[in-house]
Amino acid sequence: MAETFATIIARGGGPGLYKKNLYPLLGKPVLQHAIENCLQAGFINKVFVWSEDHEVLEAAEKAGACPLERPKHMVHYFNGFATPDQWGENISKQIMAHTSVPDDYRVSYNCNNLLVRPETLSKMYEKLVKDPGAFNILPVKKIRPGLCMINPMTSYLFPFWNAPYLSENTHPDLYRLTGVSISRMSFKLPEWNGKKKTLYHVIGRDEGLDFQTEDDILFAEYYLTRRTRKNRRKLNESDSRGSR
Amino acid sequence: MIQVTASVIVLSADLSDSVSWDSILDRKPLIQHCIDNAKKIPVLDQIYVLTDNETLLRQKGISGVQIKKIPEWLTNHNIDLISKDVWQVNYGLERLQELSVLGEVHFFLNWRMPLAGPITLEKMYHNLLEDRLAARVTGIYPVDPNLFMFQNCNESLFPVWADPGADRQRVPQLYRQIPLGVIHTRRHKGICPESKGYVVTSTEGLVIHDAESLDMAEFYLEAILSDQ
Repeated sequence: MAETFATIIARGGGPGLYKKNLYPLLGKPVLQHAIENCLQAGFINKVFVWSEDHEVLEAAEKAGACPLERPKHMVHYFNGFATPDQWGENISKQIMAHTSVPDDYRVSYNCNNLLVRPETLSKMYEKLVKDPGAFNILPVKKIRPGLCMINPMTSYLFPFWNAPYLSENTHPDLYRLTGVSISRMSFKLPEWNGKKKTLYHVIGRDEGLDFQTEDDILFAEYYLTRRTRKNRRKLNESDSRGSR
Repeated sequence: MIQVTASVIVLSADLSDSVSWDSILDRKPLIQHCIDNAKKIPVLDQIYVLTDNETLLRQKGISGVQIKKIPEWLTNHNIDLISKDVWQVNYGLERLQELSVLGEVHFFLNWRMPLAGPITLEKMYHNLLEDRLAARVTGIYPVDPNLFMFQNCNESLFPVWADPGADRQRVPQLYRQIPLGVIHTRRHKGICPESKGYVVTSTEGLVIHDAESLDMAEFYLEAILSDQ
């Protein structure tokens, strides 16, 4: 049975919504939703949360994850003190200190994508396992055409990915990458000479949220509420079948 | 003295079993939300509902608006005032002129957007008239960056609007236009009419096109009303 760990990189403060990863959605911090999605996926043995913020680490432990200390010079991507590769090394060293067995697969789960379901993670994992030539798998969300930008020269709207003579069905597709991935750890071994192939898994609108600002709160709460309603309906149906 | 008008177009071909102009949201038909929001715009002189739907034509409950029948030949032609195609928009404006619903400034409203509030609509109007050149202001809301297309040759993603070297806050913003706005009719018939965007929240920009989005609107409205 393959060993799989999940890592969640969760900072405390940030430039946008303050302490976003601890923001309560339907009574639970965003971080807790992310951890639970990983634990409920069924194939993840352990979840690690890497953070510089002690409140975040406490919340992680409470939710069933293993906290890892993040040095403060490894919080900002482009601060010039450490590279993302060095971040990865720091995480892996700390994980090895906690476990005796290295992982075969690693799930990287970004808290912002808290709507990506455990079932989706599971399907992605199965796809990756079935393809021994693939290095990793990423979820992508389809984006409708008809975008625009504000022309910096005139300050008026400038169409982008927008061919008015094409319908939505005939327009070339655009996709957005989300911050979730599952990787095959053996590809990272120095003796591996294989070519790295990436697989993609298309997710729906209800999973593609990138939770960033206050504007995203209602959207997230709507889809989380819908899932709770659906689960309650399923439970009620199976209860009523049982009582018959 | 300028005349400011508004139109809401309801075509039978656009209606479906899951969503129609009379689908109920918070105890009111969708179209009533749109009209009630429009009535609160202080600068608006007249609201028109243009339709080929017989049930809507017979409605007596929608007060403060003039309901006009769209001629049959026009129902097969799109009055699209959101289009990038200037000719398409001008065609639409000429048709509205023929129906005698077009003022010097004209709001094109959308019965599928019940959460677009009167203050936002009024601000679009002021944005339009305070700009010396803009012919149209439409609502826009930000979309996330990191956009890719699939390359057929190697089935991998090709960056279209993404910069792996930049924080997402530093990626130039992209927007989605919503099918709602206001037009300066004289300027739009001029040379190279410019379209300006007015940023709205994704809540206000919600377009109801199926049962799920109607359910979402109900949820959003409940949250907005409980905050008030």
